[in-house]
Amino acid sequence: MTPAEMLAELRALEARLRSSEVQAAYRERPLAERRRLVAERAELSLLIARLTTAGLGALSARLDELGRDLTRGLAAVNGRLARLDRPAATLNALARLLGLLARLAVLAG
Amino acid sequence: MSLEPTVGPPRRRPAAPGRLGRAVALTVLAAAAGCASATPYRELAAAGVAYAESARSLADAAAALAIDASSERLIQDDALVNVDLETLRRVAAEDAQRLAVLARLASHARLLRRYFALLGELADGNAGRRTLAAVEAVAEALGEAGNALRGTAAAGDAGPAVGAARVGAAFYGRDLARREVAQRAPVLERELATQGELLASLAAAMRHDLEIVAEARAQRLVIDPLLAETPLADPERWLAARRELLLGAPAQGELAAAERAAGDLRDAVAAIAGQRPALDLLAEVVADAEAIGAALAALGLTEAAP
Repeated sequence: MTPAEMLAELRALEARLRSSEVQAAYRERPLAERRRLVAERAELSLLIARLTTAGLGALSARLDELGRDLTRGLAAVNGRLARLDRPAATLNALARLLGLLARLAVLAG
Repeated sequence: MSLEPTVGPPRRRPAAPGRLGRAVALTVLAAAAGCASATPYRELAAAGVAYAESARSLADAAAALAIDASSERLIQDDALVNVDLETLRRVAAEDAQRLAVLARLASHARLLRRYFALLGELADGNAGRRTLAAVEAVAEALGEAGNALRGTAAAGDAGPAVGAARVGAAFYGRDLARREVAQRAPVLERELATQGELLASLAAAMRHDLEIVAEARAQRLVIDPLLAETPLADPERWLAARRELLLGAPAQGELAAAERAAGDLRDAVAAIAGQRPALDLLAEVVADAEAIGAALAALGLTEAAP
């Protein structure tokens, strides 16, 4: 049985223990029996929660490792975007120069 | 074979293309080629953004649902035996751990969204707009200089040059997008494979939490009030609770779209990096992202509208 299959079995068991039928049946039972059901059912719920969180946490840690590559990717895209800006800076300088030339030509005329 | 039309009025044979004419023809070709190559990168970026947003919504919804489920468990247990403070603290500690993991997932989804949004800027030529604005400024300056230096080589129509520069800038941006995807594809594929596993686990956890919540609420809000000796205290509330429970049940199946979306996006990245068509896959990703949004809304797990 894989960990995922075991978790699925535990979840199915919890769903049965928390069904309306079980809840209704235990309402009429003596306090000691109710106390035992609640304690063991709560332990099962906590165990499932821990297994779920641990599984998500492990996958999340793998994503964190990949996140470093993704951050490098972000930096690379930003770098490429900056390269797109470089011609803009050159053209802006050219536009300023042409503007100056035009004014000089007017003055010279 | 003559290129002249055989019927109708005779047309003037176009003049042999000069330097400007060739520039215009190249501009048209580059524009056509550019349009063809731009689409997959722009579409990939849009699908990536849609996917990342739905993954973040899913992580946020899973956090809210996890708290609701543990609260319902406590209420259910309390109905049989008075719950003590120690139990409440243990449940709260477990909830806090789950929330921390889900916050990391949401944060990672935001990072992925930023990456695809930037890729979209690159593919879309948004960054090229700064270049294009500069091109326009040069054209204007050329016009001014042309007026001032009338009769010199600087005077002339700057329109075709601006057009060529505009296409050139956009084409350059798209080429950078192509190179970025080709270079980053292995990382993106690993990332999306892990995301697929993670979203499958998340969807399974959410389905279980939904089952627990639905069963507990059915007992607390529908069955108990109806079976009580006294008439329903608030029939409208009872009716709304029952409706919500019944309508929410089919939406649980749609959570599978999360896993599907990650797989489709991963396949699309691989296809695009390999210069293969992927528009169908990308459309599936967007449809899956919409299905996730609709499922979360049906389950009452979306953020309140601003």
